[in-house]
Amino acid sequence: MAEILLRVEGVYKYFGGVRAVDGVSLSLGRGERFFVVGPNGAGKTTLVNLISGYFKPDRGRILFKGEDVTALGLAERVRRGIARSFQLVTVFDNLTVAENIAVSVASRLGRSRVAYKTLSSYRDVVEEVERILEVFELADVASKYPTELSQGDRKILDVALTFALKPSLIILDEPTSGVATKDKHSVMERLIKAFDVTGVSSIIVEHDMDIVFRYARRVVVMHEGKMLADGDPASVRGNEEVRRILLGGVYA
Amino acid sequence: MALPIYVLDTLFYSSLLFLIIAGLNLIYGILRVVNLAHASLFTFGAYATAWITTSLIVPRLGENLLALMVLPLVLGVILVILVSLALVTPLLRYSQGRGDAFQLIVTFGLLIIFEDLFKLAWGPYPVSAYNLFFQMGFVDIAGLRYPVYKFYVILLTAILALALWYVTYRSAFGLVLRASSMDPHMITALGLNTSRFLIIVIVLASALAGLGGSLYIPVASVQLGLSTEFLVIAFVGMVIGGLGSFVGAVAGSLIVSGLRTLTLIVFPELELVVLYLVAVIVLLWRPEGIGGGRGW
Amino acid sequence: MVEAFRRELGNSLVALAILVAVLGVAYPILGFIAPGYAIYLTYGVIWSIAALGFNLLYGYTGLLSFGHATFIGIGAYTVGLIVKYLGLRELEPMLVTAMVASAALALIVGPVVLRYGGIFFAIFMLAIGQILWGFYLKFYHVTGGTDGIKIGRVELLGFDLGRIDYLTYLTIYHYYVLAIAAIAYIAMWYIVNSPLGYSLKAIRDNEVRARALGINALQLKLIAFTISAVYTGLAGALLAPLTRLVSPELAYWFVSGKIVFMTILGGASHLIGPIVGAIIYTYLESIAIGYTIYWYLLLGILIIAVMILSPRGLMSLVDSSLTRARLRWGVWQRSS
Repeated sequence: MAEILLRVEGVYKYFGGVRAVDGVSLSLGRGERFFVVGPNGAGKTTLVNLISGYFKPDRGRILFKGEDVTALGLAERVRRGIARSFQLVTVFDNLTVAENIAVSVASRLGRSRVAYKTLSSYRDVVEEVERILEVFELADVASKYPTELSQGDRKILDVALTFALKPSLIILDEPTSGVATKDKHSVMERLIKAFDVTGVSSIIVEHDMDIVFRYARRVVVMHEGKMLADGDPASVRGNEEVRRILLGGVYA
Repeated sequence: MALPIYVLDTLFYSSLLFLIIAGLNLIYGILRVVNLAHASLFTFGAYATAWITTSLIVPRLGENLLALMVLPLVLGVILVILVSLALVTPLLRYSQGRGDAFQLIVTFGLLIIFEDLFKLAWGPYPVSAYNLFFQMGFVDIAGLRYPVYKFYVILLTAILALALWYVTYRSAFGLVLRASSMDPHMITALGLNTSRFLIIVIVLASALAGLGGSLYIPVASVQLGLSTEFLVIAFVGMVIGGLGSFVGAVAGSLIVSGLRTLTLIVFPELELVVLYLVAVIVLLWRPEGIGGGRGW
Repeated sequence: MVEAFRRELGNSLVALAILVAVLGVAYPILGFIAPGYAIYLTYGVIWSIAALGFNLLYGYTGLLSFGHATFIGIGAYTVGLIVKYLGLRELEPMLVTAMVASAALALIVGPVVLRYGGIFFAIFMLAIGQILWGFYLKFYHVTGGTDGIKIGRVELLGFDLGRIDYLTYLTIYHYYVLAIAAIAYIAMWYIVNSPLGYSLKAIRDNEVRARALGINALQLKLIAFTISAVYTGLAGALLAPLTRLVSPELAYWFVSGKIVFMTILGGASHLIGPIVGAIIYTYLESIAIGYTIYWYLLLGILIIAVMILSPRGLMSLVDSSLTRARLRWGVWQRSS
């Protein structure tokens, strides 16, 4: 069992009278991954917001790499290695794919302020950009602008930007939403492959149950703020309550 | 300086500023367009009124008080409206949605066009028409003589501000004004023709600015560069009061005038510096300005 | 792999080098066929330095300043005041002082105004410029007010040029300015292709995302703002010996508008755009001034026309015709 990276202990989040997250506890080991599923309003996004530091829990605590990060804000958590990608693709439209990633790498290496050397003259930056392009299978489109890419490639570029910061934990919020159905699988495959190859832990919020059951090894089911199930896809699928709420009995 | 004089001078200047800022905020609030040439309509109003007074009214009707009060104002504003419809409105409409940079550059172009049109029509020297100012005479305040004309301007603008307030908060048109400044789709949602509505807004804003110039000319002379002087101060007032807000126009004009009048007594060279610093302080404290953030 | 870091025609060192060469060769040619117009080439080169500085902020960082005349004024008045009060004639220390003074103002004002973008920033810069303009006007005991400060001949690189004829002096000055411009152009090429340059572009495209990637946007904007100020201040200082009079007009906000326009005219998304725009604009202005006293009218119409018809500037027109040519060539090649 891998070293524990993230521990969520009894967190609650209220918005007015609504219990968006109602007593959730879970843990994640280094290099591991789980998917978060559940109907709309189940608290999935709130849960990841709590983990990434966008919100602070009203009760409970969050430990990351052994440290209690509950009181820390977004920027602080980013500094400790928790990075989050958003549903809406936000990349730099007037830079090529390679330049996009280079900006992120340069930032991580603390080079953003350098004005007297060209970016491409930094060997370490160039090599790392090439590595990331390979891992995410973006090498073919390295010279293209984001507006010229397929929706799937755009999504992957977005994640690659976050990935370039070398976080220990990446949180993805519905990475295949907005992607054409025929591309969804390849997008998820590429993302998962990249994470596995580099050993980055990840939490993926996903709506498409097809994708989830195909690629997940661990699924966390949320409903009305509570965690209904946390286990491998088979056992989750076998869970009566989950089936009723989530799958509407369509999947046997 | 005696307090009553200070207060009156502040109110007088803020009346003029209000007429400019209200228009700027109408156009920004509802069309989301920044108009650098707005103060040019103020200047045009001043020039036009001066010309009408000295060339049309006085030769025919002498120094008749009523004629001097009504005719130059009305005719001046009509001229401003016509020029606005011809030059300003199409450009502002075209600029909608094209971004800050486009609007700033294009309205800058319009502003310098106006400057040369003024030079063409009235030459590079100051133009004035103090007739009405002198016709109205003076009154005693705290042992000092104060012009009745300034009272007149303060009163007239106060009535106009009240009328504008009434229209904004108590009329159907005002409802559309307020709603559309928060969401432009509200115009059609509330059953009006978008194009016609926006043109009316621009014309209204222009008329207010022109009116300001018309009220300004009896107390001072107008010349090239006046647009810039009022533009910068009006923008500072707009920022302090809150972009696109009616309340902001009132607040901004009063605050800026008060500060300016005070600074002119104590440190005339630092007039702009003080206004600038105050604008920065206000923005740091409340980024939407004093009355801003909620549209018109 | 490095070609993924795109270089279009307008952004290459080669283009810059060719441009500098053209500007060097064109001067004597103009001196021969149209002598009165040669001096505008020098003016154009000086304004191109200002425009380049302006565009670092506008085209590359996305911040439109309507107050860059501020730095022209600082540059010019630095020269004027040094000549008047210190009696110095060597231009180099004056240039350095001008750049330092511009940087100082940028560092003082920057941390406040750079927190705001869009209209706020544009108008704040306009207001600062007008404040300084007002000072130049009002403190006439020091600045000479509207009469300004007269500048005689300056010494370049230690050489006293008092005794040569005026035309030769102007020619030497042209190449002096061109040499400085060449250094400025190359430096800007490095800046724009550096990690800073790319980070600025990222900030321009999506500031929130850039910050989420750990980029300190305020700090980088401040650096860009300072560099921008230094370039424009340098240009202001180089103007003084040419206009021979330092007056408040140089700091009036209309000059800011002209800098904006010449940049847009040339094209804000290319490195050589502002340079080309500055030179063409300088000639257009000089022709217009010679033609009518109502040349602001012509300029205003031109500004509106360019913004409506070709807002991305001349360089983008060059780009698209090159692309069309390339396509046609490609089609021709494939069919033959």
